[in-house]
Amino acid sequence: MCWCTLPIVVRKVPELSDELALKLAAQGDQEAFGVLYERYVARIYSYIYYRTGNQHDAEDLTARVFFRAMRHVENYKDRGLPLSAWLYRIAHNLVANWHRDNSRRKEIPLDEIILVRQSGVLPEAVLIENEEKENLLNVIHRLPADRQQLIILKFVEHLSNAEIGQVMGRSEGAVKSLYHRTLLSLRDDFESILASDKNDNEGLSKS
Amino acid sequence: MNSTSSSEIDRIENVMHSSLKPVDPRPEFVEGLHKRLTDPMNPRVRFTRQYSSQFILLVIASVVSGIVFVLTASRVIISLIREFRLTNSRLY
Repeated sequence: MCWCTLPIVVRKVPELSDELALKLAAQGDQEAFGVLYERYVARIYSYIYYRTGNQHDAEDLTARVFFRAMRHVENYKDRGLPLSAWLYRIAHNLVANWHRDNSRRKEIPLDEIILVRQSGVLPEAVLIENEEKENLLNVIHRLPADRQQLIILKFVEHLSNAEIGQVMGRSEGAVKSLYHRTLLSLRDDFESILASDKNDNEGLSKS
Repeated sequence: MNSTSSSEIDRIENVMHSSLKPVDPRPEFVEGLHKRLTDPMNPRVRFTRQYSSQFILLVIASVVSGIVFVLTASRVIISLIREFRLTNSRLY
C-alpha cells in the first residue's frame, strides 16, 4: 500500500526535522507543511478542546490555527522557540478572541471527556470519583485564562515548566510561582465547594 | 503551609493527573483538514520582495500625483475667483 493512501491517523509521519519542514513550508511546499500539521494537530486540538469545551468549536479553531500558521510560516523566525510554542500561542490568541466573542462560556461535555465508568469498580466509588472530577473541571473553568492555560499545558499536554514558559512568554520561575498560586486557589475553591455540599446535606437532613 | 493543606494539594494534583487526559480529534476531521491544507488547487498567494517594492512605489506616486492635482485645482479655483471679482469691479 502506498504511504499516501494510508489513513492519516495510522500513517507514520516522515522523519523530517521541524527546522527542515519549516524551511520547505516557508518556500511554499504544502507537503512539508502537511508533515508539521500531522505532527502537531492532535496536541493543538486537545488544548483547544479543553479551553472551549466542545468539539465543534475545537475543530473550527484548530483549522484556523493551521491556516493562520500556513499563511505566516514564511515570517516565522527561529528565535530558539520550538514550533509547538508558536502554534500554542496562535491557539491561545484565537481561543481568547473566541471567549471574547462568546460572552457565555459553554460547558465541557463531561461525559465525553472523563466520566467514563471503569469496569470492575464499585458504582458508588465511580460516582464519588466522577463528582470530584466534575467539581475539578468546573473549578478549572472558573480560573483566569492564563491559569487555565497553565493547567492544560501541564496536565493534558505534559509540558515542562520551561516549555510552558516558552509558550506563555514567561520565565520558568514565573511559571512555577503561577502554578503554586493556582494550586492554592484550586484548593480554596474545592474547600468552598465541599463546605457548600455539606451545608446542603445538613439542610436536607433537617427538613 | 501545614501538612493537611500540603496533602490536600497533592490530592488535587493526583486528581488532575488522573482526570485531564488528551482528547483525540476525529480522524475524519484530521484527514479533511489535511486535504484542505495541502490541496494544490488551493495555492497560497505570496508577494515577492519585488512586488512589495513596486507596490510601495505605486503608493508614493499616487500620493504625489494626488497632491499635485489638489494644488493645481485650488490654483485654478483661486484664479477664477479673482477674475470674477475683477470683472465685477469693472462693471460697477
